[in-house]
Amino acid sequence: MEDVGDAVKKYSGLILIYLLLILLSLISTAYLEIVYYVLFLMVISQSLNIIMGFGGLYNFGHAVFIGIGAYVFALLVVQGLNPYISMIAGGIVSSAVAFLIGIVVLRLRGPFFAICTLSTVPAVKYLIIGGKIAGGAAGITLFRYLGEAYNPYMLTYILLISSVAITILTLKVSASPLGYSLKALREDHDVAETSGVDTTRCKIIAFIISALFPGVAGGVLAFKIFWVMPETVIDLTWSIEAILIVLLGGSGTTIGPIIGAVVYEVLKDLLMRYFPGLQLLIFGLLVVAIISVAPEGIVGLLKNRFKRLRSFLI
Amino acid sequence: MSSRAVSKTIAVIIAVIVIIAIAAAAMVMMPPAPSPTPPPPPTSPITTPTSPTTPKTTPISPTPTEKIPSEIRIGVAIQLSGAQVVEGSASFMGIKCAVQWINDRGGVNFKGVKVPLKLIYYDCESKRDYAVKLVEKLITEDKVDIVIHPYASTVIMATAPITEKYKMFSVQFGGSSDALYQQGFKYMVSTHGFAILHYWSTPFTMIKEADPTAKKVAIVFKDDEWGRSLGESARTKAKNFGFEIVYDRAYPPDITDATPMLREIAALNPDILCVGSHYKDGYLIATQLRDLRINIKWVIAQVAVAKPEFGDGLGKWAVGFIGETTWEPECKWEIIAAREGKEYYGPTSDELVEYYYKLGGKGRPSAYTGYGAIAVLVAAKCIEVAQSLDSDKLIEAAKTLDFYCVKSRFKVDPENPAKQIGSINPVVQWQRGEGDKLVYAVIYPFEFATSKPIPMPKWEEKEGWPELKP
Amino acid sequence: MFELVFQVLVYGVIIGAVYGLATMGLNLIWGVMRVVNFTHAELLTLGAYTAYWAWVLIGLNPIASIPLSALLGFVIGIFIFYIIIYRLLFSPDIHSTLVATFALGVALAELMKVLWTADYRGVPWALGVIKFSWFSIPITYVFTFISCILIIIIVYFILYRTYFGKSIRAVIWDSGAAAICGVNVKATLALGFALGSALAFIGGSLIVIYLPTGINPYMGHLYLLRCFVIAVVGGLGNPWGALAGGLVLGLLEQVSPIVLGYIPGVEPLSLTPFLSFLILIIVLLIMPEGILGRRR
Repeated sequence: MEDVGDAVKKYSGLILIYLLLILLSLISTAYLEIVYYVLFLMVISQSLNIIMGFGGLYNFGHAVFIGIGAYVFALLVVQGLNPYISMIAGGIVSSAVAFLIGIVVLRLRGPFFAICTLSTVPAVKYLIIGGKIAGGAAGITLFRYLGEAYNPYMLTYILLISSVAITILTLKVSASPLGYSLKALREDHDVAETSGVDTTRCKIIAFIISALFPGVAGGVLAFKIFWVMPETVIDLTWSIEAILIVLLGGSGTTIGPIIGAVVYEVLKDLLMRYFPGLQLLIFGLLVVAIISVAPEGIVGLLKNRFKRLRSFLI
Repeated sequence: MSSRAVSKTIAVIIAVIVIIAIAAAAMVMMPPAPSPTPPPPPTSPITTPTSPTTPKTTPISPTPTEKIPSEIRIGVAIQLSGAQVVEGSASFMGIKCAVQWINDRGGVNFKGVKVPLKLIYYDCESKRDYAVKLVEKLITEDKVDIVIHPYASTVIMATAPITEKYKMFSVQFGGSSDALYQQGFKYMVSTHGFAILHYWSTPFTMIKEADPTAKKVAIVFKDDEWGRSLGESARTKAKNFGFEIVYDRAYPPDITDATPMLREIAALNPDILCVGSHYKDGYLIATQLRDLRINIKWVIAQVAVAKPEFGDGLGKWAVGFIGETTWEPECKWEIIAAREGKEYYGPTSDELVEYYYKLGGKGRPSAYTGYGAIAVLVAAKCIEVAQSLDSDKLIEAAKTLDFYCVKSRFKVDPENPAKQIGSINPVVQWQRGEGDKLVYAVIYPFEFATSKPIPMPKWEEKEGWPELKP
Repeated sequence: MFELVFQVLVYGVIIGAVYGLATMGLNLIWGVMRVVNFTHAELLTLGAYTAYWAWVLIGLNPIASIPLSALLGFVIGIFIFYIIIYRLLFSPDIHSTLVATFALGVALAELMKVLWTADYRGVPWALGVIKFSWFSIPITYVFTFISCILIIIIVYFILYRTYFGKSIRAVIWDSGAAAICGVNVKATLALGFALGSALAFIGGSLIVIYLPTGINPYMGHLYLLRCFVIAVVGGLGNPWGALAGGLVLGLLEQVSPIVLGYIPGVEPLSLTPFLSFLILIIVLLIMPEGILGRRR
């Protein structure tokens, strides 16, 4: 029978990592920057994990949610709304858009889904540029609205709270009927259907959830770079990195994307120092290696090698 | 609920409370954003509480008698690798040349003593995030006195908040987006001309003089921030000059085929074609104009034309294209300075070129060399006028300056130092010279122009020419 | 009016043919092994670089460098297949190949950046134009079109007149049945992938003719969306589908700016890629097998 001790053990891995991040951020502004990037990647990877890890749907267009959050944030801030509320609004609108995209795109399977979602990234970019939406290619500059309020600590901690929130969400979903349904349809879509799982509903809900926090992160991003334009906030690189991190850490686990994000950012920083310019090359090869050799990611590897860590790696 | 579930829930709640408590404590204990002024409307509590012991974050405190430093530290985060390596390293070369020129003359005049400049620089790898990190590092760890921003408006928009946060006097040389002076930056000066203010006027003036019958203008521009500003600028200036705009469209930033657009333009038979481009697209449009054999009397294409690669690639077909540039080795602004009775500060173009080769530069120095040089020269001049390294004094000094240097005139708007108003763009044109040479001619300013502007020869005529070599 | 239509048709068909050829590899690989080759964009880029280096080092014009591109593409295709793809073909997760090819693509692009820097390169090959009173077309475009036709004929021969081609078609139709009939499926898959890769390389070399400057490691991304639209619209399993799709897209890109120009407040040329994306979605939803794909 499980007691508080076991429960604490289970979550201690997570708690440890978060504490570590908080401590690091307090050392100096340089470390704060690193923690910011780790948390940014963490938030978007954990969100992707819900649709990709649990649902088995590789959303290559994940970066679009960040962009939408950033744009909504910018549009609201320009109207005079409080930036923090604007961030939340960004997340909500992002989820709403996810719903709209989802009802169209989630019917597609496997590679077709991948192609379609991959194409949404340039599509949204060109829609904004060509349709001259929200400033078109020139975008919206934000310093004059936000410059005085700029506080990097606040931004980092918003990401931290988002990450905690989505961790809790992931844990809840994982043990919930939704979670089991998702995992079922990930394993075999048709069998799940015939077993009575409402796959469409599950996929859409998961998709919506996966868009919420990237939307908020988009607002945070906009606050950091002060210039929202297609080029700066809609970037396929984030989709790539998110997928990479989920795979690296351990797709479908809760702590996987968290570990993945930390490892990824640390590696990236190290590589920047010693092999500048080669990061993405090495990561591309890394992913290929992981897929071939360790499809379960770091969490999988650790679970297999160090049986005693199993209880910590949820 | 079973006891298992209860304990699990309790554990989760404890964990969450612990994390949030620590985060909140950290936030409260943090040094606040150093901004004593109240936030702009709406007045929601977004500034963190100001502690009474907020240190003023300038590196040298403005005591009445400022100490004379042994060196003046200039911090630069610049693109020395990555996507913008060409612009970044060329600008950096200009920076190094100017620093060397100043140090070879002893340094900057500071309270009767000559203090040398020391350059502290990092490669931001063309990544905006790194640039932000590095600028922060330069200010907080390397304790520089002045910051020079990296190249490119979008990067500067992200690094400027950092220098503003620390109230650090900074110079930006590589951002020509009008947005940069619309943000309320207080401690940043711009040396570069802006699209809406400075581009197109001189070519239009020259064309009107050389060809009074020219009436119809077609405008195309790249659909990104830079292109859009150029487009808007062209539109306004064209109207001011009394031209009739017959076509006005943007093309996607990564355009691979401009033929649909060019065909439409050809049908309208304009006298002038304004291309608000960057390099790749400008070149593409030039080649497709050639391939479609579209004859337009006056073609002005930004950025692409003012590069030697344009002539290398197109050879004789390049003749007739007009472009605005920012600095060329042929520039002799000292002549104009003398004529206007204004000061000329810093090396002449010939001297700059000399330093360029001395410091290892190869080939013809690009315009970016001038970009980097003027940044350093402006910083030095501000120090000499202010006789202080205090940011407030430096920025006040900057507002009073009006001088010429290797990259034309420096004068900022006294109300808004990030707005450069004095800068002048020389105009160039590819022409056919004596002995079948391909000549990259400066056609404006007339004081040091090497030849007069000519209308674009027809493609059919160029077909008959032999290959021209530079 | 007639001139405009004629110009649009001619340019659309010529460019469409090159797009189609460039995408044929994608369709073929999908048809043979049900793998979406996300490395396709980088293979195109490598083909473009091949043409560039052939021009700079040996002085070959892009059309003359086609055999070289094809050979390189073939060899690299075999390499990629045996090292990466084969392992993952039978893994339970259908996304393995997807992500692996995608990651490989990223790695290749970065490798190119390290080797050849991100500077723009170009092959300024110009032979003059053929001019009618209202219309001119560069001679290089005409040669490109002719080469496309020739290559298509060659591919046709390979697919319909050789044993290898027959085995490819068999595997496309039903790999299990093909195996029963004695086809060496593994070898066929490898050669099929290699052929697809070779076609991508050739497409890249030909694209160079249209792009006077702008060859850089990331140029593949420009064509990514286009290739997917073409492949899906044309019918993923069918190499000729790529040609059909290519023609559709080529014409669309010429016509759409004119049509969109009537809508106020938008930039027609920038909106065209979005239009092609909408078409992609619509086709995926109502007719996923595309124009020439097999009706399921």
